[in-house]
Amino acid sequence: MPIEIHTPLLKVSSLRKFFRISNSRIPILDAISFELGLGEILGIGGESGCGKTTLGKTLLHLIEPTSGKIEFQGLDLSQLSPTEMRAQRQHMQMIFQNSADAFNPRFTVKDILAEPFIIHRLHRQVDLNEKISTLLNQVGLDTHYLKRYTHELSGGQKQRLAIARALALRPKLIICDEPFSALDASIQLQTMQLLTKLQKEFKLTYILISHDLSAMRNFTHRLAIMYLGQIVEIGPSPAVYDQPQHPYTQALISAIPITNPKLERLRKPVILKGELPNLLQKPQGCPFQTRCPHATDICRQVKPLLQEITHQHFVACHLRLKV
Amino acid sequence: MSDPLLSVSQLSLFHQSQQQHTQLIQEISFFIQKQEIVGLVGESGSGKSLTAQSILQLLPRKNFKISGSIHFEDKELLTLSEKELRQIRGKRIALMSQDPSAALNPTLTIQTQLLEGLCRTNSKITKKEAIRISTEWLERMHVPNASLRMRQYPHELSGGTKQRIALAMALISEPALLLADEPTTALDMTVQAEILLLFKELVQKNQLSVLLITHDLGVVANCCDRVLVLKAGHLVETGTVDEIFSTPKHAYTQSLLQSKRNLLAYAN
Repeated sequence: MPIEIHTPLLKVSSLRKFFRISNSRIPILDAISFELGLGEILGIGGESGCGKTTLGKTLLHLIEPTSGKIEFQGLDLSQLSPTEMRAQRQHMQMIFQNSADAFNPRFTVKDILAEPFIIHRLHRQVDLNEKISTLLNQVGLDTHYLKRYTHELSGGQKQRLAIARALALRPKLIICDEPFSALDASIQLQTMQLLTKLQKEFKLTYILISHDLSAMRNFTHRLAIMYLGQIVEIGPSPAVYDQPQHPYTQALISAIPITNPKLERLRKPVILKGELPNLLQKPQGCPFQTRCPHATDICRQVKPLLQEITHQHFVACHLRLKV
Repeated sequence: MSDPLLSVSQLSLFHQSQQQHTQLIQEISFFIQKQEIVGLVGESGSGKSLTAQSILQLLPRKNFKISGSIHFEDKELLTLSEKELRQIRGKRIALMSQDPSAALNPTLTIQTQLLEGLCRTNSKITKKEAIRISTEWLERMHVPNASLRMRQYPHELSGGTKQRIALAMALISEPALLLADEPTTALDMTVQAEILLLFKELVQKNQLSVLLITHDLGVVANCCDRVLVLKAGHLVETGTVDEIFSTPKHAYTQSLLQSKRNLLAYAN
């Protein structure tokens, strides 16, 4: 069930990010606003190129936002000095997409897990060896991996190591960028179980970025769907999943294959025509109009804003289709 | 039932190095009929891609030894010379590899790459004619702005477009069999649905057969007729899609299905 937000851990308001390519400014994130409660798991879905990863990185100020405000535990991150920001980074971590590339290949498992403590100058205050073996233990890796290099680990083990590293400084918020892609179903399940266990144990808050919505329905409390740098729908996961309101969400959900050939044959996925519009010539009005099967005149002129249709379920669509 | 298009029997693959001798594929036998989509599933490392590469004998002969028999259109592929094999590869059996970005040459335009395949299989064709056919194929793969795409380089294109171009490249010489190695893994769900629909269309219209390698059982349920389940180089179960999904016999198939179901039903 969705968690009622009493004290938001993270509050994002009108976040914008432009990238500069030659002489044009490309809007990658466009007026993103949401709140995240302590202990909540928020899923962010959408096609590749819609800005999911940029959003994740911007939230941690790994990329500076162009405008807008990110408040973490009541602190406006853009007002912090580099030293203060560094202190806050202990509480916010990221598990990067493709764990294999996120490690220094010349580091052993031990080096990788020691690095966060060294960066934050904690290595003299704590018993590093003990900390590292506890971390390995928590993610279910044996201590005999300490001297191994990452190329010696399997995909699932690397994923566990990435989780252990993110967990090292006991953060409050972890942003997981595609933690399940490229893993077999059984390993995906193990990773998911591990993330849940750790979430309960340490009262973690997750933002889970994934283009694969199938696994997110029951794992996340709330689900946000992004299109061209905007959130087009956000709400409690079961509601977004079972009663998607935005035509784009409907297409995404209908495209998930189900593992029952008899039912699968009866289903007709909504096939979206065309490609994402060029961001340099982003259309006026609704960003989805070029591919929307229901687009009308108002969609071509006025940009729809997020509106609450049922409790906590927001949609940015003029038509607000019923399924 | 007519003769199958491809019939593989007792296929084994060995890897030899100075230190050791490993058997990677263990005497697997299967067949593919005309106009059939056969799914090859298994966890990563089970030998799915190696099976496809063995059929076309793309692995370096120095280290890899293949035994058994691969019968395709009245020919025994394992006895053919390298020259004769070249008449099969790409022309009669096409391979579409896992990552479309890696399959395309970053320094050549799409046109050059499409024409390369076409002119190699048909030496009499004029350039103008080849361009027309290539553009037509791109359109058939629902690539938007096909004539513009022909002049572009791979880095200018999105993942979905690249995948459709890779598919056009594989199909342009109208092969009888397509070995598609994880053709939709790198794609978004919406593009995946589109590509799978395209497969089904092509199989009906173009007399194509497909060996679809995937680790996603949802994809298999969507478009395959039959399924082969591979585990550590052993073919542990074969059957129609309905059989495999409703009454899986082998414990490994059951666990594959179960883990997918657990994943979907996973409650936080």
